[in-house]
Amino acid sequence: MIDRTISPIINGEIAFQFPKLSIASSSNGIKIISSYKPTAPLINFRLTIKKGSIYDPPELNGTALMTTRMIDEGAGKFNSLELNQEISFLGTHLGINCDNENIYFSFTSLSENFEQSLYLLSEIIKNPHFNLSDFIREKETLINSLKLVQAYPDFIAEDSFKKLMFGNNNYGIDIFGNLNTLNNITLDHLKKHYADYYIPSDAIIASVGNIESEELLKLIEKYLGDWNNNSNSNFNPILELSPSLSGTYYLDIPGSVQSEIRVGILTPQIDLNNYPAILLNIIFGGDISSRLNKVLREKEGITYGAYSHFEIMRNVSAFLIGTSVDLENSFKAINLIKSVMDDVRINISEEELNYAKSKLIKKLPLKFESIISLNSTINHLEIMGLGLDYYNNYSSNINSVSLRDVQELASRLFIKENFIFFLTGDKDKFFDLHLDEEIFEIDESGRVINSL
Amino acid sequence: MKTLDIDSRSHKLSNGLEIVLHKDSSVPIIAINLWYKVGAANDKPGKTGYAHLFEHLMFQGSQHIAKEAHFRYIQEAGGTANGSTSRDRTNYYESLPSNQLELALWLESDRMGFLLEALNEDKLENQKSVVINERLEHYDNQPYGLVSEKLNSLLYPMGHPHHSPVIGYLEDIKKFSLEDANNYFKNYYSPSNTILTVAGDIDYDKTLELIKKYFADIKNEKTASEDNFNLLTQLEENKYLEYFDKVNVPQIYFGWRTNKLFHEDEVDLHTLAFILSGNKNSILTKQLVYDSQLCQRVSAHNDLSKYDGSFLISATPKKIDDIELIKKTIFNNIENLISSNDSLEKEIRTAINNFKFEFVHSIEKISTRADLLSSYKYYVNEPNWFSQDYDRFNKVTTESVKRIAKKYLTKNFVELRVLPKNDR
Repeated sequence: MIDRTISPIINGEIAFQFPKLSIASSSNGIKIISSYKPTAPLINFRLTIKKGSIYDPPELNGTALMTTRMIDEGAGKFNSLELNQEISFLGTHLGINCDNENIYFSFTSLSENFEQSLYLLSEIIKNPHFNLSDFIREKETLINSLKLVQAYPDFIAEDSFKKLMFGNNNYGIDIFGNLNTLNNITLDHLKKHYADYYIPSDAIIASVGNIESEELLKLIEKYLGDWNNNSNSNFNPILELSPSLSGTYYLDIPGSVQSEIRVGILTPQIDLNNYPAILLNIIFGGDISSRLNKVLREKEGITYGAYSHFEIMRNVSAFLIGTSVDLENSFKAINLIKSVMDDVRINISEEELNYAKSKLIKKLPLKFESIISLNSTINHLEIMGLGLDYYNNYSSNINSVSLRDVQELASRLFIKENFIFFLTGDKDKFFDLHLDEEIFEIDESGRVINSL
Repeated sequence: MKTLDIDSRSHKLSNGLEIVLHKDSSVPIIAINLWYKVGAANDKPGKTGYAHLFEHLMFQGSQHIAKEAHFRYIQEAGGTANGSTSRDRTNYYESLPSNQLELALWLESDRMGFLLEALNEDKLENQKSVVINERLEHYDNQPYGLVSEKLNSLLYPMGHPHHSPVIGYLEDIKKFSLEDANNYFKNYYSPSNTILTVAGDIDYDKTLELIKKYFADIKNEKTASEDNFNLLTQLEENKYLEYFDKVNVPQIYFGWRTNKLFHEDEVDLHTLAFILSGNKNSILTKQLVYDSQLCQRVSAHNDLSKYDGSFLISATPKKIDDIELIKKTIFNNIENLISSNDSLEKEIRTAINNFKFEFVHSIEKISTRADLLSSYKYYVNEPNWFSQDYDRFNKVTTESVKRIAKKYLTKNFVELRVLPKNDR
């Protein structure tokens, strides 16, 4: 019989080494980062342009997204359906999308189909058709897509919460824009957006898989070397953030059976080199064993899950908390989140810190197992300007954080009076409306319309 | 295809536990994957959702593992863990750095052998509440969240393993008692009702020894006998349901009864789904999204289990008034596909290229490879069945796709319409 009362003793450490990267540039200035990983006959390829929806003029919000929807509707010698047939025949999975800060092209293909896939992608990037008939169809489809997602409680919550968090700033607007701004967009706006922002000097390429760097560079030069758009845009997005709001807000959604809760605060001083912040998040709400989840799910059973994260982009940073609870526990959940903040603010244990460090450091081999996860990380390091040696020093940087570092950050961050607490749901069913503070009702534009 | 030749070794312990081992030392990672041969199909009327709720209870600690400790041990060791419930099985899995294999075996063996010693009313009530919130979050409070539940209740009669939702009905979840949990564990969670797969950077002999160390002394209970399902094969009449939901855009759905996983018709059904909606040039997408532009999108897919299956088509109309025309277009296109003499060779080749990519992509990660090894062991009793599975698609022809379309899609069907409440 074995002794099951103690966990097995683990011998040895897995030495982690971040994969070797090759760095090069194309003749037209695209930075290319690649890693040769021949474990499977697959290649993941990403081309990112650092011009996302924050460059949409306010009256034309949604332009960046609509351009990504249009750009593969015909390119080079192929019309929309022919182009799709060419890509689909290869079995290649091509994705084109954008977020607030970037436009993303990516595909994963079998090695044997890589060159043809790259050729087709290069045609999309260099020679999109932007036909009027395709535009009319895609615009209508995008407007309908927005109407469709506007029924989803998490979309409604995120959309309204962003407006509270980021205010009069393009980070406060969903990449969809709204029905009015989408209606304003014309085909000429998309053509201008393409001419202004789809430029090689703002692009980077990251590639991981079964192709050596010399061969990759040769193919990129062959297919993208003659991509030579030059920008003449002088549009400067609003990047300054309004003074952060605080307090409790809600949006009434009659008939909903759950509350979506979002809590947040702007954290302009936090970036991805802030290792105490990374560790603090693990302890507070970053995984299923965190304080937040332990209280709301495992102790109280009022949610399926509660999580936190630092949303760190190039120009903004925020600490965000999210959960969904049944309506009658809406304000109980908010009070519990506040109590977890109070506890973490004054009382983090050495054991919790060691757990967080162990998790982050030992997870590295798993984090970079697949070509997609590795390439996604490489891409992220580059577009965030973190340096490609970030993970070479990651373990020592994590290990050098003291309990005092994390506790000091927690005591500065978790001042609950500075946070925005926001919930959506059917206000007639907020049975536990027992807050001893004023709460504000907002409409879907983020405007305060009532107070309780 | 050579890439799909995945070497593995199979063993069986004296208590009936089936073991699959697969060695790949290209990365210092291991994956542990357990398939308990019980799923939502085994839930009884009035006791729906039990398989899924029990999956939650398996993370609540066992005799030697404290509540909430399972995830903490795994994450602290640099791993990930989770579980999932389908109609056919309940799956638990971990991925870890390869030096942590013994930790995962200790944790998994403790809950297989000693769960009930630590299960109590508090844990059960807590997880019932969590699951109720899961249901509210993912189904009741989601637009179109009840579509699958409503479609399956129309497609399959009461007592059929597909009739009720995997997560269960709210009132049934509330009724689950500690006695139910005890019985459920004894009936279904024995070593002989389980497949354990370990894949990755392992040594075959040492891994088998460690598995024996942790699992060999777990007592086997007699697994409950196979359920007597109501597997009536076809709908006796067309069924129609419309309901009004908190949505802004209507959706329509059509469902036909088909056949089970690994049935000889399966690959033709998958190919048919691709030919109808797999890309912009597929028959329904081209017709409804590009040519007539009546729809926002259209999609066809199969929902199959070891017991039965269905073929589903859904579409998002741009206008409610076009629904009848869209329905007519869908059925006309199916009829044309069956009756025309047109070759589908190009469409079939495109579909097969996509399936080939998905096969290769699915085995890149050790964890998904482990899950597929468990899956093949369970369904066809041969873990290294990757190549055979892929080769099945090379037998698809224009004639076989048309034959399958005629065999299933000309029979009675279910139609479901989800309409915006405001348009009532």
